[in-house]
Amino acid sequence: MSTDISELFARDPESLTDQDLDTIVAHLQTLRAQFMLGAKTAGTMKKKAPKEKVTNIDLGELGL
Amino acid sequence: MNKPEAFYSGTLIQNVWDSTSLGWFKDCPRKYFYSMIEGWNSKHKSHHLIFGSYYHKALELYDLSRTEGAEHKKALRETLRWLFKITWGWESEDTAKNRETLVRSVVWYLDHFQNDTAQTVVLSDGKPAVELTFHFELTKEITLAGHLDRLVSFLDAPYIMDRKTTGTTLGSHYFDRYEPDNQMSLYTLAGRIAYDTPVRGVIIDAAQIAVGFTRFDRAITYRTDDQLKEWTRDTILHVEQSYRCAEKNYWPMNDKACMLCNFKRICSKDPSVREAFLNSDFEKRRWNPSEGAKNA
Repeated sequence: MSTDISELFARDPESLTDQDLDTIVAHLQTLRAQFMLGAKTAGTMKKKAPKEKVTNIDLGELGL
Repeated sequence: MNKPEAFYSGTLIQNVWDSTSLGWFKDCPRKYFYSMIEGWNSKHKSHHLIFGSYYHKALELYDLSRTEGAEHKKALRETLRWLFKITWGWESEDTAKNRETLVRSVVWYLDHFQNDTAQTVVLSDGKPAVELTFHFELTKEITLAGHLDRLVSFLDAPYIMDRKTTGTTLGSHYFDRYEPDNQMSLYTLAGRIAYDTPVRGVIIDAAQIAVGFTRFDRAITYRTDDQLKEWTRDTILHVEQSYRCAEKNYWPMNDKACMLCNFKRICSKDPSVREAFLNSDFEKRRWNPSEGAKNA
């Protein structure tokens, strides 16, 4: 869902349809409902950067 | 010197005042000189001002659309369509005040106040009382001008409605700043004189803009007849003081009001180098009280 919203925000506004606008409104209303239920960061729309996967470190590569 | 229309021709004497220019002079005559007489502004337009300006305009469009008969859904679509177009390409570096949080704030505001008991007043000419520009003579020499968001009826009494955006947590501490307050007193007076309505005060609809949410709160700041008379008397005196400064072409610094002033870094320099620093850090964009943009 959040990917769709990001895409709609990034789209040329001239091409946004009524349905697109309704989708955005519905999404924001859902976020507001979550906020009203206590989710303090419910309205954050920026996608979180993916956490880098932790891999095993090869100590040999450090040249110690 | 090319002075804005607010001044009597060929003088530094301002005859049309709004709350912004009056506020500058009340804060500090030097700040007024730099801002109003010389027209210096920060080179980088504040994202707070941009955000506030779009927020106001969007809600104004919605109000107009509704008073012209559009249903909520249609008015909201029209508002968002305008908002998406006008903000296309706006790259705010602020995590709380940017395009996404602006759209969120407008949608959440209209959700929050969907069944608002404050209703737009219909003026005697049949037009809805939104986007109200005022311009009236306080004295023969002083004209007051400005822009009101809306004139509303709330619990059977008339009020000016003013919308604010802030990063500050909302509560009594936030609303206390409007009592007393130059802008709110002027707006109440304008409602009474320019719109001939017995306005009791200003309803402040504040929006706290945060990264993850927008929170709303409302408070009323009242003004009595005697408070408005006092404000009027004070205003005339302040304006007369500005005339004395203009006659001497000297604008004293109020060095007790520097803490949040944009010109602090200018006034803290030796007078001989201030012009160079102004040219480096600021640009000239003149403020005209008759055309003043509405912002937070």
